[in-house]
Amino acid sequence: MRGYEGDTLASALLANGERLIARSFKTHRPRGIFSAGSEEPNALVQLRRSAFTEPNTRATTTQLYNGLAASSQHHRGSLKYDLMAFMDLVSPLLSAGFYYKTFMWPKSFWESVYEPLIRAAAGLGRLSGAADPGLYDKGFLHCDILIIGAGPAGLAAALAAGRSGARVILADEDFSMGGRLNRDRYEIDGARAANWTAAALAELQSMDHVRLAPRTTVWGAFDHGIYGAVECVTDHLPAMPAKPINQDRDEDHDHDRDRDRSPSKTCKPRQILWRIYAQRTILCAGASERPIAFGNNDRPGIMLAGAVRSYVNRWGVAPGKHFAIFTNNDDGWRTAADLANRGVKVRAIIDSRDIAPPHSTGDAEIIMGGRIIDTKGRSGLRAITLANGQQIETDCLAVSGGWNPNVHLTCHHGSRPLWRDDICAFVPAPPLPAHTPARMVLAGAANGALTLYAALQQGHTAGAQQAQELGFTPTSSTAPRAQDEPAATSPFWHVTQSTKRAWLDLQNDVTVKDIALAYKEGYRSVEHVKRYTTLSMGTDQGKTANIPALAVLAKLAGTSIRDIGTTMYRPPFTPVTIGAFAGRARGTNFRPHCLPPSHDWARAQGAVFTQTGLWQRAQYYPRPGESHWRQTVDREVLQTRNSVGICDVSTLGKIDIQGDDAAQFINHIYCNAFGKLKIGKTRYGLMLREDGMVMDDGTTARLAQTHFIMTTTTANAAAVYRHLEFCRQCLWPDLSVHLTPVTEQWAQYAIAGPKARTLLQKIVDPAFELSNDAFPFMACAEITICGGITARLFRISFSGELAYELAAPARYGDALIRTLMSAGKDDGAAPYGTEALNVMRIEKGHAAGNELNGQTTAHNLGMGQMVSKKKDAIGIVLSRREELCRADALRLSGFIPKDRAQQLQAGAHFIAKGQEASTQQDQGWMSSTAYSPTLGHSIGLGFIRAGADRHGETVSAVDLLRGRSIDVEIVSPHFLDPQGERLHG
Amino acid sequence: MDNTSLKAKPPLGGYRKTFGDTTLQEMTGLAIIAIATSNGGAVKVPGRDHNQLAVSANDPLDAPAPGTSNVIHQDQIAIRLLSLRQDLILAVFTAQNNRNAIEALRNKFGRTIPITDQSDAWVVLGLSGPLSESALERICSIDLHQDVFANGDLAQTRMEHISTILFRSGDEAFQIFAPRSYARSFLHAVETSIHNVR
Repeated sequence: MRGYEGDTLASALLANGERLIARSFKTHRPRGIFSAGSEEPNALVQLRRSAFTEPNTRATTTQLYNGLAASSQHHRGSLKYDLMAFMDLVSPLLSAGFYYKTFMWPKSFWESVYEPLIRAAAGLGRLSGAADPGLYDKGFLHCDILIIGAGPAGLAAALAAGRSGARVILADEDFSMGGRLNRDRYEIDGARAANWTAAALAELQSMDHVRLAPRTTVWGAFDHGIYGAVECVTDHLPAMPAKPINQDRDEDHDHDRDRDRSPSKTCKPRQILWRIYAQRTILCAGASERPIAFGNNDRPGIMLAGAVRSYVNRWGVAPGKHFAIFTNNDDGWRTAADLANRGVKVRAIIDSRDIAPPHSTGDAEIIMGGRIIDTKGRSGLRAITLANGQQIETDCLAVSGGWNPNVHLTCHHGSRPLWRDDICAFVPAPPLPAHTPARMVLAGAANGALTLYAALQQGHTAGAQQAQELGFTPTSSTAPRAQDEPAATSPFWHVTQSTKRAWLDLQNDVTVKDIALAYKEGYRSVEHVKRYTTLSMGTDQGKTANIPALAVLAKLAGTSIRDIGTTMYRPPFTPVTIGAFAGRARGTNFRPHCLPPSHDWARAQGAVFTQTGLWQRAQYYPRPGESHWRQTVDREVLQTRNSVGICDVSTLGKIDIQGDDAAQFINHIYCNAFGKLKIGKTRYGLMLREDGMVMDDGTTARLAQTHFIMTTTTANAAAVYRHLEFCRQCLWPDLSVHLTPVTEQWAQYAIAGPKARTLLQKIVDPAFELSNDAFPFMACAEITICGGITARLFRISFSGELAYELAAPARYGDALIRTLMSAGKDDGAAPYGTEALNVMRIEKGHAAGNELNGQTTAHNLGMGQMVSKKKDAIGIVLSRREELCRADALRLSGFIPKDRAQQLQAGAHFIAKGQEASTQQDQGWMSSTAYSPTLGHSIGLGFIRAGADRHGETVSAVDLLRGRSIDVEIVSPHFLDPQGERLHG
Repeated sequence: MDNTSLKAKPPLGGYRKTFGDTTLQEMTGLAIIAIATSNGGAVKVPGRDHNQLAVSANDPLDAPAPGTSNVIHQDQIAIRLLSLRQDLILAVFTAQNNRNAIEALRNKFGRTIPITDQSDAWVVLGLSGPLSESALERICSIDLHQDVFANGDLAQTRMEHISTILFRSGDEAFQIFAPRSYARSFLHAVETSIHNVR
C-alpha cells in the first residue's frame, strides 16, 4: 500500500480504496473509518508486529511511515468473511445487560465453558504476550501558560501570550498543528488559513520562550496546575529500538558493562510522559462532531461530515465517489460545499430541519426536513432509504449531528458542564463551575465559540489576559481577522421513524434500543445507564456517542438533556499506553539500588546478594565445593565463632548528633538513660513510639561532650532520622542540637570472633591501645588506621563474640575490606553475609526486624527494666499501660525442637500440647529461626505468653500454612554465651 | 600497616564522558562540610539573636539565603557555601586544603559551630553543555529556566527516587549531589537522560 508523508493510516487506507477496516465489538458488524481524529470508535487496528505490536490503535491518529505494519483485528478468518459475524444474527440475545441475565446455569459451566468462550471472543486486539520492548521516558515541564490545543483559538492564544513574553507550551495531539485550520478552507487576515497557520507556527517557533509540542496529548488535569501529557516521539518513525539501554541491566548494576553498551547504538523512547506545571492554562481543545442515530447507521462509508472534509481538504482523499449529506446544522452544508468545490459529486443533502436551504450547492438534491431510516450495503454503504421511501445510491454518507465542545479536562476535578440551548451542547459556561481546575480558562470551540472569528478572538483575548495577569506586558497586536461562518444547529438526535437498529455507541455496539431497554428496566441515572449498557466505555470513551445517547435517554424520561446531565469525564482523555506510566522504571531499573562500600570486592568473591530495602547486601560468600547455601552459612558462622569474621555493616543508619543539648535530646529519644553516658562509651538504646511500642534500636556512642553518633537498623534509617528531625524541630525547638545523617559517609565493618583483636592490631595505628582494659566492651574512640587515616572504632557486638565495628571514610571502604581480609588471612578470617549475621544474632538472642515489628513492647522483648522510671522520654508513659505490662504478656523466648533433627519455621504459632490449633488457643508465634551450626540443631526466637517463666515447658509450634506441627521446648533466648564472656573477652 | 594499603576510591572511579558538546563527569577531590548555622540556639554567636534566620545581608555568618549560594574567601581559601535550608549550609571546596579549610570555617563561623564532614557521603556529577538542561528535564521536577533557577541557585529535590542536591554552576552547567551508595543508579539515570535527549 502506498501513502504520502503527512498521511494518517486512515487517510492512506481510504486513498487505497479500503473501506472495511474493522469488526464491531459485540456483533462483529463490518465497520469503516468514521472520523478523522482521536474520537474514532471504529477503525481500531493492530499496529506493528511481534513484541512491538499494539492493539486497538486508532488508524485516524496513526501517522503513516514507510514500513508501517498494521492489521485488522477482532475477527476469525478474514476481515471480510469473519466467522464470528454470526454474532450479528444472535444480536437480539446480546441486548443491554445480557451478561447480567445469562450464563447463570448450570453453575458448573461458568468457569469451564462460559468464561473461556467469552474470553476468547472478547478483547478486540491481542497483546503479544511478550514484554513490551519499546522505550519510554518521563519528564517535567514548566511554563507560565499551557495552551491545550493548537487550532485557531490555541494559535491565537499562543501568539498573544508569546508576544507578551510569557513562557508558553502549546500542546496538540495531532502531528500537524492547526486543528480545524488543517481541515477547513478559511481566510484569516486576508490569507489562506493554511498560510496563516504556517506563519503563526513559524513565529511561535522563533520564540525561545515558546515550546511547540505536537503529538502531545494532554490527558489529565491534576491538582495545583499540574497536567499529564503524553508525547509520541518516535511512533511515527520507521526504526524501532533494537535493544533498550535502560532495560535488562546487570542485576548488580555493572557499570563497566553498561559503558560497553553504547547508548548511541540504541534508539530513543517512543513516548514521554510529561508532568506539566503551569501557572495558567488555556483550554482550546476544540470540538468533536457527533452523529445522528438512524437505522443501520454503522456501515463502512458512513462518516462524520467534518471527517469527510478533513480527508478531502487535508489529505486530498475522497472517501467515496457518490456522496450524500445528512445534517441537522449548517456545518454539514460546508462539507457539501467543499466537496462540490473539489469537483466531487454530491447526490443529496438531507437536512432534518424544516427551513429554507441555507446554501445552494451545485446540483445536489436538497431534501429539507428529511430523515434517513435505513441503509444498505453489507461491507460498505451502497444506498440510503429516506422516511418517505426514497432510496438514494451513495457510497459515502457524511453525517453531522452538531458539535460537542471538548470540555473533558475541565471536568477532571469533578465539575459538570452546563447545557447551552443555542449550540445544543455542554460547555463550562462562565463563571466556571466549582471544581474546574484552578487557573484554567477556555477559548474557542471548547468554550462553545464554534465559529472561526469567535474562536480567534477568544484565543487572543485569553492569551493576552493570562499573560497580563502574570505580570507580562500585553501585546499590542489584535486578534486575527476572519469571518464567522454560519453555524446554526438544531436538537435532532435520532430518527424515530426508523425501525432498524440505530447505533449510538459504535465501539461498544450500543443502540437506541439498548438505552430504551435500560430505561424500561428501571435505570434512570445516566451513570447507571452507562454501566448497564457499556455506553461510552471503550477506547473512545464515547466521544461521539455520549450526547446522542443522553438525548435518547432524556426523551424516554420526558426531560431535557440539561436535566439528565453527563457522565463524569475522568482522565485519561485518550488512552495512554501502560508503558508510558512505567517510563524507564522497569526490570532492574524499577527502583535505584544502594551499593555498600564492599560491593565490588564482594562481587569479585562470588558473593550472592540479597536486597534489604534498596541496599544490595552480600547474603553469603560461597566457596568452591559448597553446593548449598547452608554449607556456606554454617562455615561463615563457625569461622567467625572460632576465628574471625568480617561483615559490611555500612548499611546501618548513622546519625551525627551535635550541640550543647545533644545528651538531653538523646535522653528524650531513648527510653533508657543516656544523659550520663561517658565520653568514649557506647550504649544500647531502645526507641519507643508515642504509643509505647518499640520503634527501633541501636547503639549510640559519645565521641565528645556535645557530639554523639547514633546507629539505627538498616530498614529504619530514614524513618528514625525523620523522627528525630520532627522531635528537634517541633517538640523541642529550644534545644541546641543539630542532626546530620552520615550513613553514606562511613564504611563500617564488623570484625567479630576471638581473633578480632589480633586482626585489628594489624590495622589500627600503634598509638592506639586495643587491650581489654584500655578499650573494653562498649568503648568507642576516634582513631587512625593504616598510617594516619581517620577512623572510628566501636567495641560492640551483634554476634555475641569479641567484636568491633570499624568505620572509615567511605572512600577507603573498598581498600579497607581488602586490607582487613589480607590482614586476617593467617588467622583464617572469613567474610560473612547477612545470613550468617542473622544466625549469630539468633544464637545470641538479639532482636531484629522480625521482633521489632511495630507491635512489640520493651516488656515483650524482655527489656522492660530498661525503660527508665527516672525520666521522661517518648513512649514511656504509654508503655506503662496495664495491658502492656501484664505478667502473662508475650515475652521473647528461645525455642528448640524436642526432636533435634527437625527444622523450626518462622510463622508457626504456639499452641498448648494436645489443644486444637485455633485463634482462641494461640499463645504466640515464632518470629525468627535458623539452623545453629554452633549448637548443631535448629533454634528459634519467638513470643509466647509469660515465656520468661515457662522455660523447660513443651508446646506445639503449629504452622497451618505449611501443614506442620513440631513440639518445641521453651528456653532462654540467649542460646550462646548467656553470661557474655565471649564479648567481654 | 602503612597508609599505602588504603587507597581512596571515588564512587564512580573518576567517570567522565562526553556526549557531543555535553560532558558528564564525576567531580572528585571535593571536600563537603555540613555546617549547622542556626537552630534554636545551636550556634551561639556572640551578640546575635540565634532565633533569627541567618539570611539577611547583615548576618554575622554571611550565610546565603536558602536555595542560593555564595563564595567566601577565608584564609585565602575559596569556599562555596550552598545554603540548603535556614539552619544548614554545605561548604564545598577542593580537598587539597581540606584541613586548612575546615580550620578556616571554624575561624569564620566560630569554634563551637557544629560541622560534619560529608565529603564521602556524596557523589557529585558535573553536567555541562547544551544538553544539560533538557537532560535534567527528564528526571528533575525543578523548573530549570534560568529566570527561575539562576546561576548559583540550588535545590534539594528527588530524581529517580534519589534524594539529591542540584546546584546550577553556570548557564549550561550543573552539579548534582547524590548519596554515594546510589552513585551507579544515579549515573545511569543521568546517562539515560542524556541519551534520550540527544
